[in-house]
Amino acid sequence: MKKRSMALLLCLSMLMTLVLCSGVAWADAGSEDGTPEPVDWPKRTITIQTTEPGGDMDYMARLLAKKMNEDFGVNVVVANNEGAVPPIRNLIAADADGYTIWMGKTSLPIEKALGSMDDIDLNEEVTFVGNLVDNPALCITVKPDLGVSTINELIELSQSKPDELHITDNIGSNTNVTCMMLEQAGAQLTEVDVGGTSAKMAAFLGDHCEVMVCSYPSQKDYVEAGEFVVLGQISAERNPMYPDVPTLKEQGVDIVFDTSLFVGVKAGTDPAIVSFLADYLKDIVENDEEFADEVGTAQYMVPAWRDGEEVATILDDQYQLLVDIGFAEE
Amino acid sequence: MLGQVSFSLPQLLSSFGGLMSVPTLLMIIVGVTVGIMFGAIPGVSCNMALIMFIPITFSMPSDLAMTLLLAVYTGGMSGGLVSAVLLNIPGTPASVATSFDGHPMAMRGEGGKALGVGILSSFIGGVTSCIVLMLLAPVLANYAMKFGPFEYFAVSLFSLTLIGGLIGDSLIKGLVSALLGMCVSFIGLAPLTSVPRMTFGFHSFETGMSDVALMIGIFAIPELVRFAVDGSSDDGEVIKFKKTKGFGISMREYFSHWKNIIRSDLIGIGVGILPGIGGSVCNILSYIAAKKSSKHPEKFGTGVVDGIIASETSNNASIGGALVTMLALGIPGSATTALLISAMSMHGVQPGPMLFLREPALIYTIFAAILISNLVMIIVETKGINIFARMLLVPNSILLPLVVMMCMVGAYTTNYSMFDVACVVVFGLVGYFMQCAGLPLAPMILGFILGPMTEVNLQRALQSSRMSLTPLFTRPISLFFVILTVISLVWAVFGKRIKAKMQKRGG
Repeated sequence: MKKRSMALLLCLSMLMTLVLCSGVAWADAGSEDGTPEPVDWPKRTITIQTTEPGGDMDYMARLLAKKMNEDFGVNVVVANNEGAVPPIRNLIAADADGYTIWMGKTSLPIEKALGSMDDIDLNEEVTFVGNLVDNPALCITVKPDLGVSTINELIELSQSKPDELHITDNIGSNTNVTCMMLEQAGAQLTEVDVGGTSAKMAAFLGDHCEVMVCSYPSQKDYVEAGEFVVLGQISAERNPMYPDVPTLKEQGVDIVFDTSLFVGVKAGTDPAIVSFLADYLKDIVENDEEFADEVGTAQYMVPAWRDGEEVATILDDQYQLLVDIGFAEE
Repeated sequence: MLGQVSFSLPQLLSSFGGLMSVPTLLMIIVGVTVGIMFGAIPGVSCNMALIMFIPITFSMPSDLAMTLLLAVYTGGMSGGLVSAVLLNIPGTPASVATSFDGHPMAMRGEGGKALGVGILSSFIGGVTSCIVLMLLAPVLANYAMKFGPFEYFAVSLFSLTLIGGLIGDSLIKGLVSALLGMCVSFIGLAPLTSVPRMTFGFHSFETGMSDVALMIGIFAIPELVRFAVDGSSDDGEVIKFKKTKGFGISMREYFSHWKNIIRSDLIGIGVGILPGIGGSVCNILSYIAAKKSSKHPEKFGTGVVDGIIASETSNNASIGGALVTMLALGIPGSATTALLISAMSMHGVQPGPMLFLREPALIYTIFAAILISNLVMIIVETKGINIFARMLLVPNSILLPLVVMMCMVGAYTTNYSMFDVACVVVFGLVGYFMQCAGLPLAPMILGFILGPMTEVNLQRALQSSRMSLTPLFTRPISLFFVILTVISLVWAVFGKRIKAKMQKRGG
């Protein structure tokens, strides 16, 4: 008797695991307010495919999941993947029913340049829904004891002692592109591929690298305390959240690489669903003050709506930029 | 120094007071219990539990949200010991070494005692590391930053030489297993150069093998296959267990292991602080350290409490260590702390050196939450010992298939891909044949984790020094570990002879 009840208990616990893992535990069925909806979507759990936990895409995916859960009453699961390409592969492998959403970033052409998505024709496989935010975050930073306060001074200093200064690189990312453009601008730095944001901070704090290319929010505290000196932003325009930091372009050094986050679904998804989703997102981006406040204060991102076609154009332009600097092949 | 703050006991006490309400305590109990369950189910990790809980915390104030998430983290870290002891399948990579001695004890009918010792050690590790976190966070965090690529490379090299301590009777077989693990770790895009290695043109191979799939594969599947192949009847397989009171071990007996406890605690905190290493390495390292300094190393692996103490103290101590770098510097050392940071920024709190100055109340709430969670953890698990141990009464023909199914679910949910499930099966068969050939499995896991760490850091180090190895010997910390490596190697090869000679001289 005991054996049987124990087995039953195990069965139950396993079922529970299955239920929890499939993510339907907190799903309510349908919307409750009874307002007529133009399309019969969403009715069940939505999955947002994105990259590693902790980054800007993960943050946006989770914020979007929270919004959609509140507004539609369905459960929204964020699926994290290692790398920028696996989320696309998962999207392509899913059904074109709008229940799998891809949170992507306009630095994606770097992956294309590296050849890790040679078999994917994005414009064939994906329908871009729209751009949510611009994330002009990447900055070039040094410590005060280096004695430079502008990008030109840094370039001159590096030329006076070639390859002696180390810069935090991260191969296959926009940091990598920045390092390359900096080199083309005349800087003579030794690039050390230390890894992602946290590894860059560790390498810079521990004086293993004298120059850091890193996003602003993660170093904000140090900048405010005067421990770090930000030489400039990589973006075309100053980020309104820290307007005192000049862009590199303003200082006469032509290093611009903008990034923004967008949403896509699988090509072939019902156009009614795509336009419904686009309208919904556009409304959040343009009218939701809470959203603007959250992405602004927490992540220093700027809400910016662009439709799907514009996103596709931006991706093409970014690739062309990589070709121009010799990072990618025509 | 940034982030420097003097510890204030009244503030800690008032934070305790803040958490002492029925709903908050209830929330901690739920968090810890769910964490334990997720930790105990092989493959379904603590991260999975956190990912599930993060959306729930959206509507909470930030201090309560962090309290709940830390409760889940604490529970998840110690829950892994249950399945390691009872099923010989570690619930998380952080409890691999717990199974070495825990399971043999369970087979002898001492499952309750093994669990009790594990729980007590988890508690001690968790609480002491939290105290260290409270008193020394900024100092330790700055020390951790001294570790650059050369230091990491030296530490990895040293850790690799320790594999010798994991090996049973044959050095060759142990090394084969470790090398096999390293080979598997090379699958995927090469670090730094992004050259595909051993992918055979399959895109699924490019991200590399997941450690969860490997761990579940080689530990869980062979149990099932062996049971199926042996075809033994259920009646003979059921293991007795003695009902235990308390922890199943007297406090005097437990604390006679004080040296082991302190050593494992320090290893856990030390390894936890270094970003990117964490619980999955430190439990094995402190197990080896305990074995090497033990008076009876030959008994390790046969079911002695020393092994469980070493593993469980250190893996829970690594929590405090990981939180040091996360809170004091804003640098996440593991996927778990990355998730915590992501959850904090959802609440508009950015961990970093200024957090200690800007939101001291939140910091003290975090300390209080960890301490209370550990208290809840020890109560829930002690109450649960006799219930957990009943799992052993379930016939293997029912238990093992269920466990394997749960493992598959766990492997699937780490990346939401069926590829990982296929990997579990393949690694399972590899593990089974390795066991048939008498190859130990644990070195494979260590090789898998340390292989890439050694490789990446050597490449980075050479990049920063422009292909010169000299800094390895001129930087004090890396030189220290290089010397340790040499000693460890010499001891591994000539240790027996040296011992024999010394005995002769002494006799």
